[in-house]
Amino acid sequence: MDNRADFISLAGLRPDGRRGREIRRVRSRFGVFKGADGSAYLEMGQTKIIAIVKGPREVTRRQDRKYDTGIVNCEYNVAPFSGSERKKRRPTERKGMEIALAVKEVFEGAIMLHLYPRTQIDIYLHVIQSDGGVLPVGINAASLALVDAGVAMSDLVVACSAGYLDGMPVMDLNYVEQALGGPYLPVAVLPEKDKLLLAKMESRLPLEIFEEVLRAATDACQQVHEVLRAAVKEHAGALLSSQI
Amino acid sequence: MHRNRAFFKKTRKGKILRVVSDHYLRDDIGCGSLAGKPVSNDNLVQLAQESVMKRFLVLDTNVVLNQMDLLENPSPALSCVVVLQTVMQEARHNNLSLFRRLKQLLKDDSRVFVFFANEHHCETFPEEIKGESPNDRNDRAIRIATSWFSKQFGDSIAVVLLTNDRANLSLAQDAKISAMTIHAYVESVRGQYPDLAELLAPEESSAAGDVSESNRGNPPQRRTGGQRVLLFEEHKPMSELTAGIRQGRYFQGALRAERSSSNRCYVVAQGMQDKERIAVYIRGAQCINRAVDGDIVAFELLPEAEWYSQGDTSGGATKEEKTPTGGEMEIPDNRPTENLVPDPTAQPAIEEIEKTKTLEGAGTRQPCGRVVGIIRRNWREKQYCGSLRVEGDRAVASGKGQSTSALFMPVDRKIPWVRIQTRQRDVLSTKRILVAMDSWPAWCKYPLGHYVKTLGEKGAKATETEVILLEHEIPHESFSGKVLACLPPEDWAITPENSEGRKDLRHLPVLSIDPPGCKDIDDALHARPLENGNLEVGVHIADVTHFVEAGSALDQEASSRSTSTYLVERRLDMLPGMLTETLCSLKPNVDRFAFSVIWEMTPAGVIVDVDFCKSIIHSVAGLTYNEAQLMLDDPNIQDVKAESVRRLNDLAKIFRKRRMDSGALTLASPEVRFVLDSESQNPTDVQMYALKETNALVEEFMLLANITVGKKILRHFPTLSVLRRHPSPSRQQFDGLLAIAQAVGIKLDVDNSKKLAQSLDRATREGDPYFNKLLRILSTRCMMPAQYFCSGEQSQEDWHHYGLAAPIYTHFTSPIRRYADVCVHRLLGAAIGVAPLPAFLMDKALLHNLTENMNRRHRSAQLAGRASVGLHTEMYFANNPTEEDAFVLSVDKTKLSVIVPRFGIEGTIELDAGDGTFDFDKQALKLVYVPPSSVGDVGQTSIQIMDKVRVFVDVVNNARHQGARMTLISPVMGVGEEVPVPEPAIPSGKRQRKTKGL
Repeated sequence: MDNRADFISLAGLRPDGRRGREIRRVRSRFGVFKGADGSAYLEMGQTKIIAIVKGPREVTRRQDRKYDTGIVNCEYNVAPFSGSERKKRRPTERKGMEIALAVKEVFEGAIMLHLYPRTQIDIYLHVIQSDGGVLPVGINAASLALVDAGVAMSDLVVACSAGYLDGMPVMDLNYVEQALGGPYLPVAVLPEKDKLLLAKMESRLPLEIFEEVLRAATDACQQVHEVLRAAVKEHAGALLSSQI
Repeated sequence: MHRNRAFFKKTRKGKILRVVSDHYLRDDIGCGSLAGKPVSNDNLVQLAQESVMKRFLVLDTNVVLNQMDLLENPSPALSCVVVLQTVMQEARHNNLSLFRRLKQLLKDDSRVFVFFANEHHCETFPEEIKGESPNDRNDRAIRIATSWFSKQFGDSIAVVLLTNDRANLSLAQDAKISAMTIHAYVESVRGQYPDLAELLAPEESSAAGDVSESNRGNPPQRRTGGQRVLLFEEHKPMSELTAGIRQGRYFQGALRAERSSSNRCYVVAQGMQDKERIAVYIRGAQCINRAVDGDIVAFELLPEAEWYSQGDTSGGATKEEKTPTGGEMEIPDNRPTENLVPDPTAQPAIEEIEKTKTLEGAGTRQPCGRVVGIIRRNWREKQYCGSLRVEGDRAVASGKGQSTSALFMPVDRKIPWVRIQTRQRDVLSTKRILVAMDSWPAWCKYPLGHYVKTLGEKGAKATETEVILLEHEIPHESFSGKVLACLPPEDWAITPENSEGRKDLRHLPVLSIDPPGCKDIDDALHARPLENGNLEVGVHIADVTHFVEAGSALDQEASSRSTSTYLVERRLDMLPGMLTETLCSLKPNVDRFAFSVIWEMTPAGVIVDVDFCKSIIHSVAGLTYNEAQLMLDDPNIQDVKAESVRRLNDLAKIFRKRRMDSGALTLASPEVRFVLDSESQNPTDVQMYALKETNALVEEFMLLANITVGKKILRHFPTLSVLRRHPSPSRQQFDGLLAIAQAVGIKLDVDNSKKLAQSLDRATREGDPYFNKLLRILSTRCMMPAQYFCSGEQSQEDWHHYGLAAPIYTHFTSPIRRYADVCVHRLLGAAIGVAPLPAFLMDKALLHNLTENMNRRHRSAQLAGRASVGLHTEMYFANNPTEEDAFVLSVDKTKLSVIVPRFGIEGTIELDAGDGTFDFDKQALKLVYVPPSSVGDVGQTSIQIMDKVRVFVDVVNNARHQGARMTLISPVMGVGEEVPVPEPAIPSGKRQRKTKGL
């Protein structure tokens, strides 16, 4: 009756071979575009996103300018070939707008904007391939690009999702798992500060289970953080050694 | 600890989509998992050493798919089995229910069935080879895993691959992997475990690539010169079927067998010739072409000249007799005709109705078709009940212990006979057994199957009852520990803490009225005068939802059972006995939790106000219908109980009148009650079900409560309410009834329920009190079955309840025995703010499934109940053959069907004119017997529909008849039937007298 049952195999493995509390493989690269102030490429499993940061720079529309603080803009693009079906998406599509808005709000909370008055920071996200968890991967990519651009943040923002399948919380859902229709909770945190920046969920869930899923999501963020921090460190090391 | 080790692309070409997904390989899964826990190499070696066979078996997918019954046998020979993930995936892809059974086996901790995720193990993952077919790849994966296991175990334990795929077998042997077929394996352990061979499904040897077994005993069909003769046309391949359906050459639909025969089928096809749904007849073994009731088939229409015309009762298809064998001519259908079963479809099934629709322009001819291919087999997963055919079956000469072939006759007449191989034919011949169908190759007259289980001695009551339960798929195992763990503790009692928020109604004179011996009391009533001259009336329903937490194991079990099933001597509960008989049951003189509906109404029955609340009640009396009736009849009884009952009765009369005026129907069914022997539980007498005024009283208030609650929940949850509807029957459904009415000179008006009710009231016959009831029984059979539904699924006009003439109706009053009521309780609880609505009641898709399940279970519970009555009727007549009055329900050229009111049974009587002739008047539905002139002038006799006749009922078991049989005593119509076998139960003299009575 419910295809969410029988989902996790008897060995406790998900269809792609992960256990419930494991995230997908993360690979990253910094500075993929020299023309931008900062850029990064990030893949988590089969979701691959390029983030480009421009700024801090002068505000393009004068009326948006703020005298005590900087502003963040986000643009979100999906390549037509990113999914299994070729499909052109318009930039005005609601889903894309929603993701862009979420990214913008997350980074408004993380970037030390008071250091950049009268400026704007633009984040461009390009989804090259999507396999679930576009929002958290996008946030992570943007976070790396901001690091690459040298924008001051109170902490490295990391994000990951969690869901609930077959009676147990699972981390970092891929497309198949997300499409089953169970709860899907993307979360963004400031890991060192233990601060939640974003948590979004559209399904109904009993409170106890929600807490369990939320905990899984923040744990997943910690796992992502470990990987990304190592990547940032390595990148910083490489930069340093190249400058000496 | 375990990071992703490597990563491969996996592509799947479906709808020209390229799906890329992650695939992680691991090194931390050991040697698999046993009952959900990971096991290491050493564990497995130890397990194998402890086992009898001292080796591990690795299964191939075809073994899992074909030999599930064998695998489920807890024989030590089938212990220590490895099930690979590849196999699980293939099984899931092929057959979901087999997959579930396999999963259940893997979870069972009494069996050593190890699950190994070979696809995710870094050493057993098969690297992609270009150009390899998925099938070959999976076979390779299985071989890789097998050799990996044997490497792990070294020399200590052998690992054997069981496969029936010839290619895989030889490849495995080439790669020095020890492998054999399952048949060879079972053969090899036959010395120790001879029973296993029984469970082995025969192989469809004609299938390409599979091993043809040489040592498998006698082939089920003889061959001519090594070449099998095809008895049926081969099925067309799937690609051709789908193409044909698209082009409109073929049509698709579910094959349904008519009630009494597997050889007369029809398919209701959609979208043919612009008409919505059309029944197409498929008759005769050749046309049905190995399809079985329930299969989804593709068929083509026969040329119009071969269509079947309505008057033709032979039912023979045009091509039936062309079977090329010549010798073996028993068509699976010439089985004994069972005469006397209480009609299992007193509520007409939808299919009956659709049968009447004819194709445009076809006149009286019915479209006929021929099956060209099977799109999906829908063979019952959990086997068929029946027995071996004893007489007439050509016994294949064989040595002792040799496997012989036998014919199995399913209880369900819609299913063809099945050929099985067995070594214990003689033992099984008197037993009821379970058999699973495996395949039906074109060279077999009957489908091939295998023996699964013995149920017990044929004819024994326990066995036959079990057969009834299995055939109707009634869950009858006892409640699992998980379910029982959800029950409140033994010493549960009402305390101020757990009764918070409840209205204390213990001071009210609540009482219950039920049949004698009723243990699961759902409902209680009270009525008392108020100071303002109005009356307060309360209906109190057992508060089941207090004990059954939504979503718990108990709740899930209840929702899957969905209803209690009442057999003649046994009740199968929906909820465990502790709730059914103790905690929820509103027994007298104890405090009980209840869900109450309390009205304030004027003495004239005008409802002023209504209130719903959870409450505590204290029933002052548990009356039987008789006791309550006594209180009504005897004005001298003066106490609070009697006053209550009288008050309630006055109101009930008002409500009843109101309901009747608005067009509610009084319908009837020929229900009977058995008086059982207290020890043997055998029926000693049959009584008519007597309905008293108090039955109507209780019913009236239950209806009122149901309707009131229905309105309330609908106001709060317009799209989520669980309601019950009863669709209006179409005009066509009344055709048969109207023809009968016309024949006997009665005018019935069927425009709407009110007119029908009024005309039924008028339709009486002098001196024949049963006539009216008979008409009501017949009109009940014209109705559609009522059904549960979710209010969001149907438009408002369709919510109507035809029989009750109510715009909205639901079931609220029996939560102990119906799950619909449990849902309604939760809805009402949420509506009055007691508890929030559980999530699954807010999901329309789940609600849909829930109501579907309720309807299905409700129907099968009803059918099982009737089958149980049938069984007892038969037992009764076996001991007490009786002559009784009967009424003619239908009549045609050679047959009568009659109902015996006293026993509520029906049967058909075949007539034989002998040398005389029958004249059948179609208009008047009258059959006239003209005796041959040689007898002299004895005059004609005639039988018209609805006539009263005398019949003799007894039970015979021989080749032609099985079960109860009716014989016409008077009037004399044709030659009296010769009784082929003398009745052991009746002294011959007595029988003689009866025959003289002719």
